[in-house]
Amino acid sequence: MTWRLFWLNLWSQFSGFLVSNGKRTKLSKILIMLCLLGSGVGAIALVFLTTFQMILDPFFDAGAGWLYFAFLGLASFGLSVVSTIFMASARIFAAHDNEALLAMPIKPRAILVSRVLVLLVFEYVTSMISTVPALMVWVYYGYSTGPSIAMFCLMCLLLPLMSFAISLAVAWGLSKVGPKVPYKNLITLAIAVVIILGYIFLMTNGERYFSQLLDSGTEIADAFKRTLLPFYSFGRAIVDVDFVATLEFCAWSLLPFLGAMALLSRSYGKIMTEGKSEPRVKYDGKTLKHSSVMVAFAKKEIALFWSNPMIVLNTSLGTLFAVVGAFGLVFQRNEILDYITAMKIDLPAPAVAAIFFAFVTATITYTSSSISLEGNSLWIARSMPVPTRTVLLSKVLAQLMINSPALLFSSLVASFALGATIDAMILAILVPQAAILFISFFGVITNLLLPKLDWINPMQVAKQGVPVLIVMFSSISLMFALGIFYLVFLQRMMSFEAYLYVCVGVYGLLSLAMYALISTWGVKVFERL
Amino acid sequence: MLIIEGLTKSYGSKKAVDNLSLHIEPGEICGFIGHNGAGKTTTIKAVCGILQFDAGSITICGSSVEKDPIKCKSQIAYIPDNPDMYTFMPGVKYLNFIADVYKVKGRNKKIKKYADMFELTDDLGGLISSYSHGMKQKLALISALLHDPKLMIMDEPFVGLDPKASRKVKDIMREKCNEGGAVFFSTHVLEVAEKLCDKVAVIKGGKLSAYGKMEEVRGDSSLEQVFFELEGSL
Repeated sequence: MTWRLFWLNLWSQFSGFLVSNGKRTKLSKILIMLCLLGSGVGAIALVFLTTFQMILDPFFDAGAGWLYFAFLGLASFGLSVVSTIFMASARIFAAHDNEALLAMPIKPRAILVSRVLVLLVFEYVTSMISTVPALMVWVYYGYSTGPSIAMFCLMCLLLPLMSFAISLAVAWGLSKVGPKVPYKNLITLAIAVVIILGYIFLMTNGERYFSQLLDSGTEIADAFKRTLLPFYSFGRAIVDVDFVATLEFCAWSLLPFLGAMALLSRSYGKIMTEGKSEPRVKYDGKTLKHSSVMVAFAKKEIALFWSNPMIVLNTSLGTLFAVVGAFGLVFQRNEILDYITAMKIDLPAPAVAAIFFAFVTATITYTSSSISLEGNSLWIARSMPVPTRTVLLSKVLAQLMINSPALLFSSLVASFALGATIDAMILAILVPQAAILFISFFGVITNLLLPKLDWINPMQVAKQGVPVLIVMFSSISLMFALGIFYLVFLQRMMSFEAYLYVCVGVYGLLSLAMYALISTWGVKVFERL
Repeated sequence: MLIIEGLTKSYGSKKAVDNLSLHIEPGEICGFIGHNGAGKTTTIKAVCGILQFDAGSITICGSSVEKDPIKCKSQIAYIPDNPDMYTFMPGVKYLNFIADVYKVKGRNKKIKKYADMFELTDDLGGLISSYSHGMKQKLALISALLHDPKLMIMDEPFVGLDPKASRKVKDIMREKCNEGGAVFFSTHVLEVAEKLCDKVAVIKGGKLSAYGKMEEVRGDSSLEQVFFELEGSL
């Protein structure tokens, strides 16, 4: 039964690729989606590939090859924690089919294990985004041996279990404490933001700290042993094929995982059947405010957005990055400017800020799941005397209302921090705003093409939905393509600042085309859902 | 008020509704009965403009559902068989959203009136996700009544309601008709249909097997007897 439930859960997650709105997806459409996804994943993997390429030689030449893998372990661990820490709770305890399954003659443990296995699949896929590039660089530059590659594979099987144990423990904690805590959504959101900020800090400063450790010579191992022992063992086990280190890392990864599983399996049935009680909120009879139809729909979308901290985080991560980036510029202006110089980016700092803000908009994906998130309540919008176009455009408006002000604020803060000229400030504002407009329309179109209304958990569509992944990755690819186009064809013909205005125009035209597409084709598709 | 002519809708090769025609005049309550999968919900969804159909026409208050869906939708209220609503909203915000869409005047008074009627006032501040099925059904009914619709289209409206609320719904349906409106609803409770309806339509395999004034369809026997005879189950 566990395996049947596992396959059912997994199918429900990936069926969006093969079946859309009850119909089989055409092969050509599947291939296009895979290409878009592939190009996006490739872009992220490229970032990891470049980082590992930069640190490989210095670490191995200094006789501290294990530090290369310790860095990989830390990066992979952090990425997994950020990706799944709150998803586990939603998937295990808040799935829509929990009650139906619990009413069947199935052991609660089987339901739990099937959900955990699906999460584990995601954990491994997330982990591969960093481990595969690390392996490629390591093998390509000839530092690997047969036994060490075998050990690497074994260690990579164990590595995700460590972060997964944390996700499971957090899921258990939330299920026990969550119902009793006021402002649960706000607290969850705040914790998640802190974790993400920690990860950003680790990733932006990690390489430097590791280099400092390298400089300190013989004290490296001791320092690492004291602070990050699991990753020391991870690195030593691979490079030295060391038996003791292998055992140590097995213990670090397996014991917490087994502990968390034991904790969950002992209490899962009880937690799921003890019933939930929500505090009764008395209606105060306040006068209700009137809104136009478009604004009423946009407000409805915004209410949905704020209803779940995981939707907030997963669909507006880019806005968080933008705000963090802007304040980073205020407090670490010189370090960031030095970094830009060191990277040999021959561009004015405000232009780099504009590109950064535009780049992070790729992770603003609310519209990509907004139609799917309607789920069973789709009938409401469709039975109302409201033009379908209004319903679709309200989703774009909601995404803009949520994210545009924060992006604008970030652009202004960055411009002031960098002492940008008026021209540069206009660019720093226009580029991300044009990008978010494009991504908002693109999200609606992609979700119209690949709706998934029969989700079991909203995270299925808001975090791992196929349209979300396609929009995220293809937007990144488009930005890379625009950059490459400039470097290859236009670099000698116009300045980069002038080219950024061209990019704003391109985004504007694409948005206009998509607006027209939503108003015609989109309306018909939505009415057939 | 509602004219359905030759309505046909297929799902693949299966005809869910086949050349169905019926008329509902102002002041009439029309019950729509049939076994599961007979085509009731398909017909109702087509009337509400949320399901496209293959052939035929539907006219509400003189406007075609196909040609002028917005005008038609503004005249009707639809209550589905399973009131899946925006569970992330408090009840009162949902009603305010409905009032915005239908441009309801005097919304505060109306919300208070209907919420009191269905004894839901104290719970309006809570999230819809915390409501029971019956409370959601009551909220759906309140939202349907807010804009004074001329035609009420209800799919199994009594499911999940307590006896007191059921009685109130029946009173509202009759009141609506006395004011010149009309009600078209599906039900499996034949006794309710028999007592409440002026007209009845029996659907079997997507086709109307009986349709007309209640007295004409029922004749000297009960509606239940007629229904089972038409179904061939007795």
